[in-house]
Amino acid sequence: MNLLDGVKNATEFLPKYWPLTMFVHHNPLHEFEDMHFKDALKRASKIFNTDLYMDPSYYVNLYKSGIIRKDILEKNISQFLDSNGFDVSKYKVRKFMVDLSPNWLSLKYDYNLNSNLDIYQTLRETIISDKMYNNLDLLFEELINNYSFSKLLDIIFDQNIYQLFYNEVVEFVSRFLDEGQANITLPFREKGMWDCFLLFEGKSFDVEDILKTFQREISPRDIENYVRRLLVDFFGWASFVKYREKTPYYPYQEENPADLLSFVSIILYFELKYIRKLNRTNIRSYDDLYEYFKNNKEEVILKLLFYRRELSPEYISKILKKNPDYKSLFKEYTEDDTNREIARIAYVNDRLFKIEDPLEAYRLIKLIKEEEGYIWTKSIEESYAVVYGNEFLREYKLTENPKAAAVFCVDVRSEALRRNLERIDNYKTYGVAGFFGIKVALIEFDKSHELLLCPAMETPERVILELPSQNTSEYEKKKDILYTLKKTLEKLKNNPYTPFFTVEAFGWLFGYNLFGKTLFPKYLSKFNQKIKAKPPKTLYSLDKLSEDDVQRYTEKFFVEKIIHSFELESDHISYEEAKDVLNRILNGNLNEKEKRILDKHRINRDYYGYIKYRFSNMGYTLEEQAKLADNFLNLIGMIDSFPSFIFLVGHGSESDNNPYESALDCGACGGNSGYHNVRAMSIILNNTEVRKLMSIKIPEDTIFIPALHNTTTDEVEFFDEEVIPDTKRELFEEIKRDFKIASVRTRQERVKVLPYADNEEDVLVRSIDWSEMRPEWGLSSNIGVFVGKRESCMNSVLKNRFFLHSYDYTLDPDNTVLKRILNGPFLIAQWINAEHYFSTVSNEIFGSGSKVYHNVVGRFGVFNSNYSDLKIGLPYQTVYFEDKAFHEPARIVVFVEAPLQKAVAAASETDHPMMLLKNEWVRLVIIDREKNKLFLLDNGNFNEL
Amino acid sequence: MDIYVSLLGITLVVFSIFSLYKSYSFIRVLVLYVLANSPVFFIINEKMYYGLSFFTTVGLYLVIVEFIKKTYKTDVFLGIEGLVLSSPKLSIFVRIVLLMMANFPPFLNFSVVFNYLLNIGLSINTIYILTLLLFNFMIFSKMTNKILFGKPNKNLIYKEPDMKYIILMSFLSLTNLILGILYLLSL
Repeated sequence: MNLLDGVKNATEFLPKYWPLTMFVHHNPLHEFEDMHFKDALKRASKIFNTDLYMDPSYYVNLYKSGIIRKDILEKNISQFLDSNGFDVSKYKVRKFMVDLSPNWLSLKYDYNLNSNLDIYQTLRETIISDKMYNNLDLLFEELINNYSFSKLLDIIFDQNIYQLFYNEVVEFVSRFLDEGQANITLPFREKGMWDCFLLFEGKSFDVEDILKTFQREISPRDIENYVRRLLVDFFGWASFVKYREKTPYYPYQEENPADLLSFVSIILYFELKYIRKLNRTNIRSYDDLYEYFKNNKEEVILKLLFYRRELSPEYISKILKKNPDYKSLFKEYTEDDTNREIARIAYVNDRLFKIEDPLEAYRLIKLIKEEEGYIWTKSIEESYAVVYGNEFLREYKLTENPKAAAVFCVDVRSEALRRNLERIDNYKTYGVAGFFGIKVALIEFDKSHELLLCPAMETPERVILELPSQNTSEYEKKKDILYTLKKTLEKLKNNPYTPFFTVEAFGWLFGYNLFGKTLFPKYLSKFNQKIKAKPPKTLYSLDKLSEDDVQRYTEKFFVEKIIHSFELESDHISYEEAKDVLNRILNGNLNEKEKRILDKHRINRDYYGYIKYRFSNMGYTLEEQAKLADNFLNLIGMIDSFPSFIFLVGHGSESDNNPYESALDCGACGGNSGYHNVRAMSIILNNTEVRKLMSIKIPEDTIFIPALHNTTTDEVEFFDEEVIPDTKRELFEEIKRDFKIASVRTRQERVKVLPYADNEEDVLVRSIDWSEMRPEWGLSSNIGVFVGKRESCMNSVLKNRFFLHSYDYTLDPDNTVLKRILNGPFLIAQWINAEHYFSTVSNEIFGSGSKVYHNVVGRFGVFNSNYSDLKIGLPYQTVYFEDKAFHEPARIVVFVEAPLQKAVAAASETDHPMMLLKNEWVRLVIIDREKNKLFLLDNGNFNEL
Repeated sequence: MDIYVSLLGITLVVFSIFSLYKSYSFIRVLVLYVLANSPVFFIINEKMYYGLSFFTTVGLYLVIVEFIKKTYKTDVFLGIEGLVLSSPKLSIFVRIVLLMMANFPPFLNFSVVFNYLLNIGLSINTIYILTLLLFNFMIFSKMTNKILFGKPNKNLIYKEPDMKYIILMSFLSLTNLILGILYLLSL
């Protein structure tokens, strides 16, 4: 394998990290999903050098509070014992896991072995061998595997190379990837990451040269492993570069292309540079390091253990003394460590297990310690499976002819509002993925970039435009004034010559926000709403463009782009001349000057083709709209008994001073609010021409009304009310009042779990409080997905912990609908759940740490201070409260209400969902109503619950 | 005379600042603290109060170090991070002594030194006291970071001080605190 292949392989474990502006919950171990969950965590734990389960004491608390059921825990312990061939009572193992394991290290390490001394001494060799104390070469290999060469030089020889090299990489990459935050941008970014880097450093070589030089000079034993190790240190940055590389039409990637190979080479270049510059020792390569290790084994191992925080203060103190005798110190340490382990095992075996062979006892305890996290996690999931499964098995009948129906997003936060609404009057609610069956790229009125309103793993089918349906001059005038004022202040603030003068003259203007937001947030928010330009009413260009239109728009777009690019080069050309240039682009006979200018702005035939393709993808034909509408209604099982009003309720959130705001929006809409999706789908469903072509017959007097659920305040706002005839106004007003009552009740419910909230008012204020760490709990505490009829779960209080998707298997003879649910909402829920799981168990690596230290970088992410890894997961405050995990880390439990055979048939016809089920990244529970039984998929078998 | 003492003091503070960078031994830090702070005794008017603040601070520090040494068999402040979470009672006294050392109000160390600083006007003594305050604050931030905060060491069994230690520590802390408040009230 050549060097480039090795580097490419090393990058495969990286997930993609979407920019913060469209935060997408994703599984940071996405690339490990082809392995079984347990094995994947074992491997990832080694690569990332972190624990991927909670501390045992956490699970014990859940057990003691009754969340983890005793019978389930014992069943899983039995499974563990059977699969490992132990003949030990499950009760004893349970006792060990509950009472002894959480305090394992402090457990009777001074236990007096008395008469059993000889018996337990037989353990010594095994423990020493397991801990590799008898094979220091192997131990050394194991320990250094987690560090880059520069870091090893720092650890062993007390230098400071790594941090400086790290900072330099962050400096370059953050400036290169910047998306408009920097006042002075890095020049030559349009040349691409590698060429820009060469100009930045004033060098000239290619990517492979760096790899070869690094290989020759530092001589890592396995470059692939080495690069993987380095990428763990730059996990966030590398994941974002991967996203950019894999999303070629991301606007900033189009402008300033970045790629992983260049990024890896840049890291290696800087590491080499700083080692050459700052290394004060004679250790120049791994060969030298191994040579040094040969003569100083104990010293090197002790220093590495010290760095890994594996030494107790007693030994740290001894190491830090002048000229310590490392050999005797190491001997003392290993003896001490081994004796303590023997004492603990002897104590547990003598008191609890009473196994004759101490080696067997040791093997058992070691295995329990290795697997207890998995056993506990499995027990949480299965406890919920039993509790909720039995609740869902009970069916309730709904009365016919509901007052109105409301279709909500599948999102967990809709659950309480739906339940409260249903309890006010005869409402029927449905759950569906928040893009409401319409996966589009939308160009908002007054914006120029596309919003991808569909799940992040999918590509939008079509493009639509939001167009004003009212006069916009008033709006534009007001907006221009505010924009100019804002930009002027920003420029005065950021210009190197003017900040002092600005502070003196206009400093008080900034006090408006400072004092207003701090002391009178409510009034300020109201006032700001008043002075803000009110956008005009809008419509969508849902109809498909004709071929002539496509040709005309593409030409117009391109000609303007050509004029603009010439203007940037201080060259003005007329519309007609630009048209000629376009013809020459298409015929391939540009002159040198034109070629230079157009190449610089990436205007070429390929781009023309792409734009034309995008225009031809604009909107839907009437038949396509009818199909979309049919599919949507079929998906949720709404095929008859239509009430007068059907509300399509998307959701969005509202918070202030929160870089993670889009994480609280709709995941199914690519981290955006569901506002556009519900409006577009309502327009389609209200279109009488579309209704005529639909296979599902919607009564003429049925009206679809779009609405938006604000998940921070739980208020619901309705749109496009003008479609309601006067005859139905009264009913509509009554329904609106019911929604209001449901909102109040939902808020009252949420007060109980929101920190520092005593009443409803406190919930409302959170959306405008700029010091609020948790405007809402968002998707934290999610635990399950329910796919089935609302009747089965409407009487369960699910506390905003379940994704609820409507599905009626009797209306899905060929499993098409179920397969669509598995390929869509199921995957979204798994990504969200996995993001929460890993942000909870290892917040430092897969989460983003405390919000208190976050700085926004480049407008695409956050990092700590000025130089750290890009933080890709959820903040500590999102999943923890007062140092206790708020989110219960467990795999998502998916309840599917369908006959067993049917569900299996549907799942086996999918790719990714089937892999997730097979490898147990999700736990599947089948509610087989025909047999009136629950089945849990466990180790490849469906076991009756 | 004061000028020479202050010059000596500044030299000692500068030396202490540089030495502190790689000092992890409790006693070494205490020596640096004493070295940098003792010249104040020769220039300050309120010798008795300053002496009392100095001795209660050093006393409390030594009692804490003695407890840590006895419990964890270490004389360095590495490897015992996370006291706030794992040993909250001890962490209270560690915080108090660090606040005292860093001349935070309302402890006597603050009252005496800041009163002196306000009364002397601008002189070489002012520079000495200001650099000294910086050094004392550096001790505070370094030790706070290394001992109080951070993730607790998984290889350590954290213990709380017994009643004997708590009484002694409380006595020294309260003496310094009460004297500090009384001194402030007497001004």
